[in-house]
Amino acid sequence: MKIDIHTHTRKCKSGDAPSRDISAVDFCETILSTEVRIIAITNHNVFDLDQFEEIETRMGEDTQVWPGIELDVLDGGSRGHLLVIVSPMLAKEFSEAVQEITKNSSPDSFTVTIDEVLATFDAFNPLYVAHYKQKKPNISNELLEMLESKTNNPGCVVKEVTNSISAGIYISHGHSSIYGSDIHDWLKYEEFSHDLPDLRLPVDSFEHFCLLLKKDPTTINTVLDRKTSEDLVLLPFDDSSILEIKAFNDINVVFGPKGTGKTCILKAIAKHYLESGIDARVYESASDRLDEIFDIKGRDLTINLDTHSINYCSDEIEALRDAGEIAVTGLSKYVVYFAAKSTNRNAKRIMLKDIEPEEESSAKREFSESNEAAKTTAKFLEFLNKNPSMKKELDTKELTEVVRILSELLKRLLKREWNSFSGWKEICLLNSAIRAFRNEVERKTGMPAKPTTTGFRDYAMNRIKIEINAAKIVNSVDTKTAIQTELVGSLGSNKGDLQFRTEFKFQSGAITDGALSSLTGVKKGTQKKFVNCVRNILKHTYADDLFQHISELNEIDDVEDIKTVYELLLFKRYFAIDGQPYSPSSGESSMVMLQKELGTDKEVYILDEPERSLGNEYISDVIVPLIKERARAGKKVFISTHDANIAVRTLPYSSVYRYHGQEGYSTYIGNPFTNNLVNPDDEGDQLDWKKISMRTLEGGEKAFGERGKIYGNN
Amino acid sequence: MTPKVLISHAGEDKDRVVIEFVTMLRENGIDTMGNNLDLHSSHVQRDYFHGWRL
Repeated sequence: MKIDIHTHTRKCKSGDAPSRDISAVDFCETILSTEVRIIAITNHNVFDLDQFEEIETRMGEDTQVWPGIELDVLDGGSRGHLLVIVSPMLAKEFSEAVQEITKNSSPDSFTVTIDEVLATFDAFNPLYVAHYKQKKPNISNELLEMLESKTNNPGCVVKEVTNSISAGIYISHGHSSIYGSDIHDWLKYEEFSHDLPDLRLPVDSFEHFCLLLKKDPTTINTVLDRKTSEDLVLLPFDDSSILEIKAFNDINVVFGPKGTGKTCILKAIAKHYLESGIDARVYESASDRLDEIFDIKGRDLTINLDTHSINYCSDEIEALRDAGEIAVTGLSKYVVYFAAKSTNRNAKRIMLKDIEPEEESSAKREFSESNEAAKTTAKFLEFLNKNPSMKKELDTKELTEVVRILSELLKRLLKREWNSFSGWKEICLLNSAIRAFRNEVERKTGMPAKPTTTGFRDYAMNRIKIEINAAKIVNSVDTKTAIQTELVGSLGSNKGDLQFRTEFKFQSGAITDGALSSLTGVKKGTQKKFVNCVRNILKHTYADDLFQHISELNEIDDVEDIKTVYELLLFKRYFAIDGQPYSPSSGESSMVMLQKELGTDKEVYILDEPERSLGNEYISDVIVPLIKERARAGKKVFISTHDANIAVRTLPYSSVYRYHGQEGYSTYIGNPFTNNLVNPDDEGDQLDWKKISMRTLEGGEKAFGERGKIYGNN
Repeated sequence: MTPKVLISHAGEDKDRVVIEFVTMLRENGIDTMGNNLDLHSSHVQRDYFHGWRL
């Protein structure tokens, strides 16, 4: 939620740019396109009640519009601009007061003294915003002091500066300070609005804002109480002392000098949540763990080849290794048969032995086809009955009809399957009987049986099977898998995103890249020889020396380790930028690890000195926004830190300050909104949150200086 | 087109019968191919083998 306390909707003075003029409709449209949800209209020496009311009506409830005016103050020879902003509930009265005080002058000629301002507007309990220092024309220190001393609301006098850094610097020096857009050209407002102050605490109304500005404890505590929180009772230290803290679903910071037990507090918080079944662990930056976290050595790396449509080839590898020659029938068998036949009368009489066996394969194929068809149909029927999408697409009648037809089809296919099975087995039985008769005749008569086949078919089929198996294996190992890329984190706008890449490659037989490791631990030499042997087998499937290559395959050392093509996989994992390998420095490793931690969706984040090894710019630009985003999402974020960028710029709902003095350790609890840190053991023992932060935290003053963008603790 | 004959034979018959037979066929203008005749690079033979796939 952003606030803009200084806008113009009308060109009132002759020196005003025409681009300051904006209609109520365009004004509302512009504001609603930004994150600004509180806006004050402060035209030069004019308050346009009609326009204000139209804007207020159009804007609706989500955006607060406050009436105001930018006055030309001329007092004691000193000239400057002063914004007077009042409650929208007093818009009409405010309008009348403005008309009264400006009635005899034009916006160009109108001037007013501080006393006149107070006399006219102080009864409205307004917010005074004075142009200050570089914000020209500025109200002098003397006039400001006069205003602060004479007003009934000294807590509501704020200094307007030019930008967030100036505001932060003045805040760190104890000045209430803010800045607004003072918009000159509405076409540029959206872009400009990004730099407007954020409101850390929710502001309900103008009156509420004024109370927060005055650091009214009741108001602040009421706001804090609205935030979801829980009381934690912790035993973080060895001395068994109890620490009670209020943990907000927001940012909670533990800070203090080194060696004061901050990590112990975080560990106790983690223990508390773990015991409640909530995933919570203390994140510690350790850049050398990046390789370990990403498992760069691939200890737990696996890949499912099925998802890449790659066949594991388990059966093929087994069959290839077990393959042997099926010889063609030698002529000698025919010679022996015919020589014996002519001399053996008994054998001549037994004609049964001469019955030729039936060809089995076509019957077997017919069975396989009908079996496959029946199985597929049955599977589809099951899918049809179970899949809800089918029932959505087909009405009951259609579904019944489809099921009926498919059921009938299945019935017929099963019948055909059975018939083809029995036909095939019939032939098997017959052939078996023929072989038995032949063997028996051969045994009884001493006459060798006539060879049943020349053996060429079996010989050819054996080679074809070897070729098919080898080709499948080669096809698998020749399949490329896409490089897997995971975003590790951003290394800033200059370098871009750091990626983590995993490359899988099958040993092709020619890979010698030393950066590739064996996925399963099978020796790379064994993998290479294996693939080369399979390629040779494929090349020589129909050659005389085929089985020589199969023997070579079986003679490879540790070949038994390769049961599937999975064992032929190689991999390498590395970090990369734009696809090129990149070794992140320890600082960069810390950056991306922290991003990864904060990028993981959890309920509780516990960060121990997340700033370690990180640059200020990175903390401010990347980490602080990420922490705030987690907080906005209602997550509990606990941070132990020495870094003011984190402790100050995030404006934590809860701060735990640990200190070690002459009397031992002390703990103070508070927040930046009340600006107090209170010792729970002695409520009179209080510290100034801002002063302690600036003194204790690294970069404290600078962080305060740049913190003006977040308005909530001035 | 030159006729081509497939010679399917056992290894043991190669020296004893097949070489002489093949030589005779070739001398008479008939080309040959076979499972043990060092013709493994021939696409024709490979296709022939595949013709047996049932």
